[in-house]
Amino acid sequence: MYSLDEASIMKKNQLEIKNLTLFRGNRCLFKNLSFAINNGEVVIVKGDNGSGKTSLLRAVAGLIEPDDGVVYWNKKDITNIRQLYHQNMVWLSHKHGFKGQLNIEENLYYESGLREGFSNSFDETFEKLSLTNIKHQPFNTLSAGQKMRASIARLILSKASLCLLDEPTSNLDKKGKDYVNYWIDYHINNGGMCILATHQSSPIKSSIKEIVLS
Amino acid sequence: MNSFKELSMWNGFKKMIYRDLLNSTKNLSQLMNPLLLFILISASFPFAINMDENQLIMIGPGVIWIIAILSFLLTLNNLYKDDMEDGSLDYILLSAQPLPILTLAKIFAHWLLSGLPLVLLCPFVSIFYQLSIEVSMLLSLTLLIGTLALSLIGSIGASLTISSQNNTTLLSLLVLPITIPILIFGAKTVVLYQNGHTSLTGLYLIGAYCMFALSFSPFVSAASLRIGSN
Repeated sequence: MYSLDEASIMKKNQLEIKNLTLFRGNRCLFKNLSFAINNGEVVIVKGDNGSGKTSLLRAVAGLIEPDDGVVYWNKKDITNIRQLYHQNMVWLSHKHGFKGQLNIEENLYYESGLREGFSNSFDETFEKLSLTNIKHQPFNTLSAGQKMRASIARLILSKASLCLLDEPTSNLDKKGKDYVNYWIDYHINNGGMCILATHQSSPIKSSIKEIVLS
Repeated sequence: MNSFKELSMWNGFKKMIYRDLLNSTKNLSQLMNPLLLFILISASFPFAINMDENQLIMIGPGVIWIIAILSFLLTLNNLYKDDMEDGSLDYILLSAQPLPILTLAKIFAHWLLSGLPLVLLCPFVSIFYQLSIEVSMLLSLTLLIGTLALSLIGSIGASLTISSQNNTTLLSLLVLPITIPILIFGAKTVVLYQNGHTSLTGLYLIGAYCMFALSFSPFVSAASLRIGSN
């Protein structure tokens, strides 16, 4: 269905969201929302708690089915090309999705089975993110900043081009925030694309579009 | 390319099992509780009822089967719930692997951790009911196939109830009626063998039930996990 070349970060990709409408119960979170994103671009989704940022991101990821509208990856409906789309997408949230009792290395080794082309250069990446000293500690025992760095390791190793970030900096200090923003910029400068949901002002330099949900 | 893809699916299957096994070795109490319950109830049953040896031999297989099923039901709740709580279910749903492969891996890992230990404990528990070696081996064999079928069927129930809070009761209500055929055929096979009939008919029937469950359970579980994450 796909080859490694197609999954490569270098290739020209486009994500297009068309007329997305989502209801939660009787409440309309957003209606006829459309935007597109290309290589090297960031879209920032802003809004208060409960305004539907996470739901928008989950709909774009394909985790929830929107009430109306379609998400296209390279002009194809993502529900038809789920595996190819997920191969090109990585999801980072404050709920890290790592097993608390396992260490970072074990967690990432397992995750390398979930997608093709997951890099084997664990040690190099741990070095880059200064995780080498803590790679054998259970994930539960790490601090918020260290957990976020482990999640960033997932972004780097997966070589995915689209990165969806759900409140990545919500409980980090200034240093941690700068660190996350540095890696988002790094990802964008390498030709990746990001959709970032946040309720804080984000100092990301390469920011292109902003969507405010109310 | 084709062989490469197959290899990669196997890779995902293998690593999913690896993670679940490794994770449960760090949560030993969660693993041991249902097994202890199985041993304790089976061991105390013969003390509570006043029966002679022949009667005990006759009720033994049925009692062991019931206790095995009930302690097994307790473990079903954890099949997807833990992954839901720490957010790793999202990563399973967002993986580039076909979801039924991953649910099948989770089911198999669950069986290795909850079903297989019951099977291994069965000969030991049979001692309390004075079952002969042949009978206890046959009982283990029916449990081996039966618990595999239970893991497969239970996975559907567990995936349907992930989004509800306090789902243990709901899950048991949902799964118990479907497990009754396994209980009937499993226990009856052993009783028939004790009475001098062939055990093959019963084994074929649970085997067929297990294969039938295998044919649709991973797909139904995958579909209901997608709905449940909505």
